[in-house]
Amino acid sequence: MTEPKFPTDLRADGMLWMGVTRSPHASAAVRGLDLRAARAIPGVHAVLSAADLPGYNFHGTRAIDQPVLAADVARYIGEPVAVVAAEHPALARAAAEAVRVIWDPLRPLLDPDQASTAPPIHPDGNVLHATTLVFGTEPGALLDPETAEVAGLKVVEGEYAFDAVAARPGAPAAVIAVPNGERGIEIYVATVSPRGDREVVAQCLGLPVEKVHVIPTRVGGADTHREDVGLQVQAALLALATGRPVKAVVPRDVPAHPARPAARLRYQHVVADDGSLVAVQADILLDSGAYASTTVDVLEEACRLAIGPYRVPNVHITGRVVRTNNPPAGRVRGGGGALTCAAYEAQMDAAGSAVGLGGLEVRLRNLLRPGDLVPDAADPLGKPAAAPVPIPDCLHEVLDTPMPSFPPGPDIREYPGTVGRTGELTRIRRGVGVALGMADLSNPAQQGEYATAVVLLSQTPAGPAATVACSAVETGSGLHDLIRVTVERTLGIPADRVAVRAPEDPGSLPSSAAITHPAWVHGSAVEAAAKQARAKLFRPLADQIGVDGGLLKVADGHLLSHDDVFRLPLTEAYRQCLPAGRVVRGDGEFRMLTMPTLTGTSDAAHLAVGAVRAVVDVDTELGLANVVQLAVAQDAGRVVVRERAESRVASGAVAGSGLVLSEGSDLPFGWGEPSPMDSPEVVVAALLETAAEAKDEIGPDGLPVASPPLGGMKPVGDLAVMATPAAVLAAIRDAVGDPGNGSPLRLPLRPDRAWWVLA
Amino acid sequence: MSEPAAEWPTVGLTLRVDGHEYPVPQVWIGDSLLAVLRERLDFDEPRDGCEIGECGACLITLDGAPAAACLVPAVAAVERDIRTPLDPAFNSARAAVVAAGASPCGFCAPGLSVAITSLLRRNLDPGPAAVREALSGVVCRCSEPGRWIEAVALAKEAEDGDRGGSGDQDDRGDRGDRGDRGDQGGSGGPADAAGQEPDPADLAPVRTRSQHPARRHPEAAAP
Repeated sequence: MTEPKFPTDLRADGMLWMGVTRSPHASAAVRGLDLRAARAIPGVHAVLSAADLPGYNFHGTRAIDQPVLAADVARYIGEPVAVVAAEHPALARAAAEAVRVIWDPLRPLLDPDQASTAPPIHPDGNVLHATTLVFGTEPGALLDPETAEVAGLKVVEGEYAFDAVAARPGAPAAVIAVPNGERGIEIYVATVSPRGDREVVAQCLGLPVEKVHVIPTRVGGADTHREDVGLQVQAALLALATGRPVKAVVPRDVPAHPARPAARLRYQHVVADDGSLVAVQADILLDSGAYASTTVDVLEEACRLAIGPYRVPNVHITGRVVRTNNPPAGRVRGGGGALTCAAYEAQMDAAGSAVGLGGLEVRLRNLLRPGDLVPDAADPLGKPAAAPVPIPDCLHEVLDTPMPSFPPGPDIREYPGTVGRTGELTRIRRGVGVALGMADLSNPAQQGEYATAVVLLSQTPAGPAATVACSAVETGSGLHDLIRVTVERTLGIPADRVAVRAPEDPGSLPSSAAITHPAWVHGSAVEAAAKQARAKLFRPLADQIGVDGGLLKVADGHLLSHDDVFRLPLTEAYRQCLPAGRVVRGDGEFRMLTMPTLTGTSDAAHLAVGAVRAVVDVDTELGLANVVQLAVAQDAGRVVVRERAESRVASGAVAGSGLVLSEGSDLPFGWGEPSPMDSPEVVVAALLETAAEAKDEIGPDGLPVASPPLGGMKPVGDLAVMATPAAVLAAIRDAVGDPGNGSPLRLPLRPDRAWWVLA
Repeated sequence: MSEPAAEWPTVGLTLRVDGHEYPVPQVWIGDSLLAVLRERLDFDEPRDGCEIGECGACLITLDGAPAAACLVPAVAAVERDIRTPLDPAFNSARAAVVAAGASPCGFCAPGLSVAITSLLRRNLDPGPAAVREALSGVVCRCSEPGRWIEAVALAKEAEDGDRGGSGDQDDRGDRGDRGDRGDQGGSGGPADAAGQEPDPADLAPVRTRSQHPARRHPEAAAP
């Protein structure tokens, strides 16, 4: 089979299995380590601890603070302290258990609220990052309820607490490390940033970077945020020590993937009697767990997106990321916006109640328009929003979606409680809620990115075919489809004759560390390579008409000159220029410096907006909520593969309903994502294509807007993840009423936390 | 702290997988059927998701009934008719999953195909709620149930077509043929099978391991 493989599907002769000895304590000093019993087990080939690591024991995306193997102190339950390699997984487990660690348990720091005052649990301190975004007047004076009342204003307060969510992908975290003589070590892993991983692994192993080859495999689970790189180092360390291939598969219940950080958000909105927003103060606290990971990015994003797609003249946002003895967190689907959206949309509903207009009306009166200010880290005065901001269009689309019929059923499985068959019509209340969401495109913290691609053209019996070698990793989000369509548009070769594969030597080719926009980075590199191949291929024709090959283009099945004077059917052009046996190669690269430098649009904030309408049935006695339908509409900028984009949006909506109703880290094995039984019907009401429109817009400075970032593409999927929880909460509020100010809303809203049952 | 594994009891087994006999020497008695299928016989499907019976990635059928291979001890699967997702019986469901875009990353596709096939065997015309219930044991992060319901409808169409059309291509016929072959093989218990050296000529095409994962790397190996 030539189908790509997942890392667990890779096997090698003489392969050993990795076992890991983990800390049973959230916080404990290591007083001693006895590896002898483990080493004595027949079939065990290596038992190694931090002392055996030849290179640097620490790694991390933002701060280099996370040990590959804990040396003198363990900071979360499950932190690795020793690794073993054995001939069978069960032997590896037994050996890992036979490692004797003398623990000295310490009092763990588990409450992020106490982190800034508690004794530091790490030499770098407990506060990892603090940020403040302000514009307009300091809202402080306005927030005093008495002063506000005199001025005819109302203060709406709310507190929202999110549990950490270990959103584990379907495929397990797995690595296979293979020592390969002079070539060094090969690491096969489901990663989307092989270049970044390679540097970390080389440094931790004390090897020159050329000796480390990180080879991406197929990625399961449509999530671009994969396991921590420490796993790669551990497997490689064992492979080097034993001279044999080592496979590491991490059990489901171990924190091997970054969890969404636990968060506590406090909001105060000042709203005038006519429903207009006067000021917002927000305080966001994120629990990064024991190590920094990428939680700082999540915080920055949460702060930028803290007020949502609304026009507010006076804004004060503070954010902190703190360290605790919880498992490390990081960026997961939806990012920081997924935390704030549920909170600011709850605030809008509360503001609607406070001034008697209703949540939807308050939203409409304050909708963000192009040129309105949004918070920005680089600009203390805020940044004007770039056009377009088509929120009304999105709103119309979701409100126009036909409603599902009520009551549900007659099949009892369509009621809340589903297969539990607890549903009963007398206890069902239906609610409808709408939420608006906003994601930003120009992340100021975005690091430089670099991608290369090679396009090879050759003739096959079926016609001309292309092979693309690039390090874009398909995670189920449709990246390879997008690349095939890009080649089809540039070269006129049908997408089904375009093969996408890894570069011949993936380890030595730089590949992007893209997280937020691999489609753009890789797609641009592939487009450049395809254009070069096109210019080379059709040079004979270009010479005949006396133009440069680069001026030829492909449209409507024809090869055209830039001025459309020359026109030749593509089949004829390929027949003339691509005889059997000729191979034409095009190389392309794409290099990006920091985000604002590249786009030249640092004067405007590029946003993607969207709306979600949720229809939810609530069981008033059992506290169960059944999301019946989600309608999603969003500004997608430019849609390349519509089928894939819609699928991405729909799965994002399902993920969002899981984040707000069922998922959590406290569940056994971290499950709790919605099953097909719990998942709603998802209607993708609209994916608006605004890229062309955006080009013609005049910016807030009176000049034409520079070309939109990400080639006009906007992140699909993230918005659905963000706004769905807010819409579901709004629908529940509609069904069973608001808990009122004062009681913090704790999410996910599982039945044991349902206020309408407890009230 | 547990006792180190001083003993390592193993047995030889013969498993009948997709109608072929596979002798497997020296299987640790604690190994799951999933581990033997994947690590000893080199099947990439069933997949290993959670290994605790939660995710449905390793769904197979045992004597026609769906089972999570990670929860079945390999020694308990001897003498039983094991069908992996690669068996032709699941082809129409697999094609339907692909056509409906029901498994974008492909990880859950094998388990999903088995679940859909078993559903259609016991319910010829499942409604949306029945589909959702039947498939709720399969964990997927990148699709949504609408596509799964569509996949079931497509698979049903294909099966209906098969039934009306060329006739005896369905899996039951297939299985009967292969079952005969299976009976000639090691029909003794695990202990018997352990003592037998299989004659290579008698073997069904046993999948061979490649020597090096690099060669098995899909993208590197692609033509």
